[in-house]
Amino acid sequence: MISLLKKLVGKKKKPIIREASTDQLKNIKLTANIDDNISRLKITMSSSYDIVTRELEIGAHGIRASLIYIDNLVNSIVVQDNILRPLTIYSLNEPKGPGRIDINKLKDSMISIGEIKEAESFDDIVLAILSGNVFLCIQGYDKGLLIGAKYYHGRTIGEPNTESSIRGPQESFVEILKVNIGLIRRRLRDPNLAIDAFKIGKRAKSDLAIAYIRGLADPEIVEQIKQRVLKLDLDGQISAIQIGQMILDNPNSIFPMSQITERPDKVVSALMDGRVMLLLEGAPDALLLPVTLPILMQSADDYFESWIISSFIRISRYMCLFISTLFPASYIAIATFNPGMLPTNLALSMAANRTGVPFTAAIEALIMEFTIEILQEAGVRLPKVIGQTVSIVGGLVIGQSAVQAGLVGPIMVIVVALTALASFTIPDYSLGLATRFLRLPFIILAISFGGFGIAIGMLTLITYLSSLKSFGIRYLAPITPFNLKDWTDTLIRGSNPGQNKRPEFLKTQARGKSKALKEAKADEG
Amino acid sequence: MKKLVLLLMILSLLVTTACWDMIDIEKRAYVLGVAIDLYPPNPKGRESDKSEARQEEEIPLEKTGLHNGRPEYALTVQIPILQKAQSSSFSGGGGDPESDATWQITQIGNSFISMNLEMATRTNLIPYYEHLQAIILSEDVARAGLKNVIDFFVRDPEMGRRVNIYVSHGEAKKVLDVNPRTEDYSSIYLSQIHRNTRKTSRMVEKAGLNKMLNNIDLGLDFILPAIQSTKDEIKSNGAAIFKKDKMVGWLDELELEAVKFILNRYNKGLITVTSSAMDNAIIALDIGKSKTKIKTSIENDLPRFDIDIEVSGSYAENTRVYTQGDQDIDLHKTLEKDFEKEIVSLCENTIKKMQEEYGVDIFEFKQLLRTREPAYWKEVKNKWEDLYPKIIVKVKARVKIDLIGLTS
Amino acid sequence: MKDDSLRPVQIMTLTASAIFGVDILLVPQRMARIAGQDGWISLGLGGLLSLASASLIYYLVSLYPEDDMPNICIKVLGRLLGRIIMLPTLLYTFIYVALSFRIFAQALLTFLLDRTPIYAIVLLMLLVTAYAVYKGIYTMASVCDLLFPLALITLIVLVATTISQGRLDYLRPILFDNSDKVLKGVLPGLQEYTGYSIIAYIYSHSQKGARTYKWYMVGILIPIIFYMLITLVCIMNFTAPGLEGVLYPTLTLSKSIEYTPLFMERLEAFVAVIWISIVFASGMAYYYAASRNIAVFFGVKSQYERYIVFAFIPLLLILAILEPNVLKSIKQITYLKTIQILVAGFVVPLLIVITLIKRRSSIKK
Repeated sequence: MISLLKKLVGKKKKPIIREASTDQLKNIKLTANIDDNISRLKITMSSSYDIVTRELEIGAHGIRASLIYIDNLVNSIVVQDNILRPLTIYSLNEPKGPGRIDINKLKDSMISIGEIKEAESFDDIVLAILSGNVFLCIQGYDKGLLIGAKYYHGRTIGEPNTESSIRGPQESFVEILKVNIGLIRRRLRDPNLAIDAFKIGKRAKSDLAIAYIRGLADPEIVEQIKQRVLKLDLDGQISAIQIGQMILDNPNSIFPMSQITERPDKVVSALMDGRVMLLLEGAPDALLLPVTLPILMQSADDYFESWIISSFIRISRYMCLFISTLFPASYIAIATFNPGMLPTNLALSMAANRTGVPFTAAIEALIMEFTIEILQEAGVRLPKVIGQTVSIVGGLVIGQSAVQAGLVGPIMVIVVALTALASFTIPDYSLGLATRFLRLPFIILAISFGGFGIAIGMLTLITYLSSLKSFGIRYLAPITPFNLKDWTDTLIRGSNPGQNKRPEFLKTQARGKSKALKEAKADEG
Repeated sequence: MKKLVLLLMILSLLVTTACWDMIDIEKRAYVLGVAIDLYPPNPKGRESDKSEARQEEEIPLEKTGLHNGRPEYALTVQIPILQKAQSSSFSGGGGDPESDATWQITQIGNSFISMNLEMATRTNLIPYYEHLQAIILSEDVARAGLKNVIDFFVRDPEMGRRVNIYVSHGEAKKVLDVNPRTEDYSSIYLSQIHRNTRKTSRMVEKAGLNKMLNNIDLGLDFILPAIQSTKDEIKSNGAAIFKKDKMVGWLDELELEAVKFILNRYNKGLITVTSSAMDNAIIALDIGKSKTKIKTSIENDLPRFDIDIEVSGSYAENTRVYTQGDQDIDLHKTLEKDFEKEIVSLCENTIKKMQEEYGVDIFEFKQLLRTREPAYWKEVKNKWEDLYPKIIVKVKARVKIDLIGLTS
Repeated sequence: MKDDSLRPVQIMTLTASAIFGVDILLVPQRMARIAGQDGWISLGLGGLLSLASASLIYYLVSLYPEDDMPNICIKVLGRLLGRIIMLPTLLYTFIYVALSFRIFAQALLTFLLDRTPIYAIVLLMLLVTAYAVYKGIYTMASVCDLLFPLALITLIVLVATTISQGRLDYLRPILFDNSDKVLKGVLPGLQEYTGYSIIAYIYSHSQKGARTYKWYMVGILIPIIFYMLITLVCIMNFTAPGLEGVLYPTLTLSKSIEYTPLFMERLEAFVAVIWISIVFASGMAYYYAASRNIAVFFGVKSQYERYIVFAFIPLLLILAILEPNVLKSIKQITYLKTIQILVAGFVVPLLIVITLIKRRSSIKK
C-alpha cells in the first residue's frame, strides 16, 4: 500500500547525508599527521559543537600533540589536572633531549590516570571518544592514546520509586551502569561474581552487563542468554526491559516472563539464588532471569519480619491475586446468574440496593472498570501538583455521586475499588498489569455463562500458566510440578531466615549455600 | 482478510447469542415462603381481620387455567417488595410499618407446578425459588395427604432439601400475612424460630424437607412442627402427627417433649414438678444434657423396647420457698426421684396415646426393629399395624442434678 | 528446554483425576439401586478388584517401558490384529469424552444455568479440554497437580459437613439378607473405577520404578475411598430407598447442607465450581487417551499428532448432543464401561501372555 503511494507521488531528490558505519571506520587508521587525524575525527563525529580539541606542546621538546574529547562526557577537572598539567607544565621540567618522545613514556609515567590504552583504528577511537574518553594524538606517531576520564552526570542514588519497602535498604539503581554495578559489588564481594559486558545496538552501542555467579547459576541458562543477546540486531534500546522482551521464550505472553527491579538488594538475592541479571546503561531497571510466578509474588519485606507473619501476609497476597482478577466477574456471576449462592439476607439487601439502577450488572461492571482504568492512567501521567485533586475528584465525584444519582449500584463501586486495590498489593507491577488485563475477559465470560464461564476461564488460564516456561523452568514451579522442599519460599516463608537450600527448580549447581564455595572449587580442581 | 472476517463472525456470535441466563439480581422475585390451603373456601389471610373481607369465592386474577379437574388447592407465595426494604435501610429504619414489605400472591388450581408458573403471569419479576425458607400447610391440607402436595417441591432442583415445612392451625395464608416486629419477612422470621431449640425442647428442631422425605421413603410415621399465628407473631406450637402421609392429630408441647426424649433429640429444656416435700412448690430442672438409649429385644414373640433416659441438669427455680444454701442430700435425691417419675409418666402416657388413640409410630420403633432385629422384622413386616399396639415399652429415667440450691 | 519425566506424585494425581469424573454424580444412585443400603460395600469390593486389574495393566506396561497402550497392541499382535483389538478401546475413550460432557452439561443445566443450550456448554468444555491436551502430557500433569488438591479438599468438606447430618441408622442392618445383591453390585462397582487404565498411556513418560507403582495404587485408592464415603453419606442422608429416586445425589447432597454457623450456608456453589474442574480433568485424561489411540491407529506422523485434538471437536460435539434423553446417556456410559472392563479383563492378560512367550522364546535363541 505504502509503496503504491510512493510510486504515485514520485520520488523526490533528497540531500544525501552519508553515515559513518562501524565497518567503514574499521578500515581507517591514524596517520602521523595530527591535523589530518583531528579533522577527520571531527568530521566523522558530525562536527558537533561539543567536541573539544586542545592543541598542546609536550614539554621541553615542543612536540605537538592534540587532545580531543566530548565536553559533557568528561570530568574537566581530571582532564586539566591529570592530563593537561603533566603534559604541559610538568613536562617542562624534563631535560631537553632528542626531538622525539617515547609514547610509552607518556603512557607509563607522565599521565596520571588509571585507564589508558593505545589505539590506532578509527572505530575504536570514535567509540571511545563518544563514550567519554579523551584521545591524545601526537605529531609523528600513527598511534594515539585513549585516556579514561569519564564522568556521567546522573541522578544520585535515591529511594526506589515503584518498589518501596518498610524495612531494609532504601537504595535504588540509577541510570549510570558503573554506579549500579558498584551497588551490587558492594553487597556481593564474591570473586565468582562474573559480570560480562556486551555492546548493544548498532547506533547506541550501550553497555549491557550480564551478571551471574559462577558455580551457582546454571551454565546452560547463562549460555542461552548470552547467545540470544549476541544475536540481537538493533539500533539501540533504552532499557534492559526491552532487551529482555527480545530474548524471551514467550514474548507474546501477557504474564511477565522476566522480573524487573530497581533495587540492588533484590538483584543480589536473585544472584545468590543462581539467577542471571541484565543491566543496560541508561536505565535503572535490572532484569532478572529466569522467573516464576512465586518469585514475582515475593516482596523484600517478607524476609524482614517473623516467618509466621510473613507467611500469613504472603497467603493474603495470593488471595489478592485472585481477587484482582476475578472479583468483578464473580460478582456478576453470582448476582445475575446464581443469587441462590448468597445467604438470603445478603441477596435481598443486594437486590434492594440495586432497585432503580438502569443498567444491568454487566454494563455497570464494564462502566466502572473503564472508569477505574481512566483513573489509573490519569494518575500515572499527572504532574504531582494536580495529583491530589484527581484523587478527590475520582473518589467523590465518580464514586459517590454516581451512586447517589442512581447510575451505579453502591456494591459495584465497592467491588471495583477493592479489585483495584488488590491489584496494587501485587509486588510485581507487570504482574499486576496482567491481572488488570485479564479482568475484562473474565467479565465477558461471566456475562455469557455465569459461574461456569469463570470456571472455564480459570481452567484455560491454569492450563496456559502450567505450560509457560522461562528458560526451561516452568512458570508455576514449585506449585507444579510439585516439590515440597521448595515450598518454604512460595506460599509461606520458611522459618530459617537464611534458608539453607537454594530453590531446586532453578537447577543451581550448588544446593547448600554454605557449601557453595567448596563445591565450586571441587568442580574446578 | 479472511481471518479477520472469521474473527468478527465469532465475536458477534458471542455477543449476540450468549447471556442466555443473565437476570439481574433485582429483577427476580425471591419466593420466601409458600402456603398451601385447600381451595374452597378461598383463603382470606389476614384480610379477614380487616373490615372488608374478601367475599367472592373466586377472584379472577387467581384462577389458573386447568387442563383437567377442578381446583383443589390454593397456593400463596410470598415475595419481598424490595423498594420498601431499600427505603427503610437508607432512612435508617423509618419505613412505614403499616405498609407491607411483602406481596402475597394467591393462585388456585390443582397442580402445583401449574400454580407456580401461573404466578409468573402476575408479577414483573422472575420467580426464583432458591431462597425458599418455609412451606406452610394448613391443617386441612395435611389431613388430606401430603403426597399430592410435596412432589413438586422435591423435584424442582432450585429448592433443595433444606426448606422447612410446617403445619398451621387454621389457614396457612394467615401465617404469610404476619407482619413480624423484628424482621421484615414472615418466612424468614418463621424459619428462624426453631433456632431456639438450643434453649427449649418444646419445638421440633429443623424440620427440613429432607427428614420428612426420608421418613416417607422408609414408610415411617413422623411429626412436623405446628405453628399458630396472630397479626404479628408466629408461635411454634407443638407438632402435627402424620401417619404415612396424612395428618391424624396434634401433639401438644409436653407430649412433644416426651417424643423428643424418646427419639434422643432432646436438646436443652425444662421439666417442672410439684414437690410435696417443699410446700407444693414448683421446682424446675434446667436440663443440660440428655441421652436416651433404647434396647430392642423380643419377648414372647413380641418386640420389647427398653428406653433408658439419662438426664442431667441444674436446679433452676423454686417458686415457693426461697431456699438459700439448701444442700440437703436427701432432698436432692427426693427431687431427682420426683423428676424421674415425671419424665417416665410423661413418656409412657404419650406412648400409650400414640399406640391406642392414633396407632401411630412416631418413635421410630419400626426402624429400630428393622435395623436391630432384622430376622424378626422379616417375619412380622406385614403385620406391623396389628402388632404396634401390643408392643411392650418400658421407660426408665435417671436424673442427676448438678447444681442445687446455690444462688448466684 | 528439557522436560523432566512425570514424577510419581503426578502419576497419582493423574490417575485419581482420571477416575473421578462425571460419575461422582451418579454413583450413589446406581449403587443404591443395585444393592440398597449396602451399596458402599459393593463399591469397596469393586475397588479391590480394580486394584488387581490395575496391577495387571501396570505389569503389562512395565514390560514395554517406552510405549503406550496402542503401540503395545501393535507391537505384540501385529499391524492388523493389533488395530482390531485396539478398536473397542478407541471407540470407548472417544465416545466417553462426548458422553461424559453431555451428562455433565445436563446436570449443570439443572443446577446452575438454565436456558443456556447444551451445545454451548459442551463446546466450551471441549475447547478447553482440547487446548489442555494440545499442550502436552506435562502440562496436563501440572494442571491436574493444581486441581486435584482443591477437589479433594472440597469433597472432604462436603463429606464432613453432611456426615453429621446423616443418620447412621439408615445404613443398618448391614449385610442382612443382602449379600447376593452386594455381590451383584461388585461388577458395576468395578466399572466406576475404569479410569485406572490411564496408566497405560502415561507410564512411558514417567520415572519408572517401584515408587511409581506405589503412587499409582494410591491414586486408585483415593477415588475408591471417596466413592465409598460419598455413597455412605448419601445413604445416611437420603435413605437407600429415597436415594434410588434422586438423579444427581451428590449435587442434591450439597444443596441440603444446613451449616448455619458458617457464613457460607450455601456450600453448593463451591462444590459446583470444583466439580467442573473434576469433570474437566477426567475428560482431559480420556481425551488424551483417545487422541493417542487415534494417532497410532491411523498412523499420524508425530509432528501432526497434536493437532488431531482440534480436528475431532465437531464430531464429539455432535455425538454429545445426539442423544436427547439423559437417562439413556447414562445407560450408554455404563455400556461403555463394561466394554472397558472386558478389554482390561481379556485383552490385557492376552497381551501379557503373548509378550512373555515371545520373550522366553527369544531368550532361548
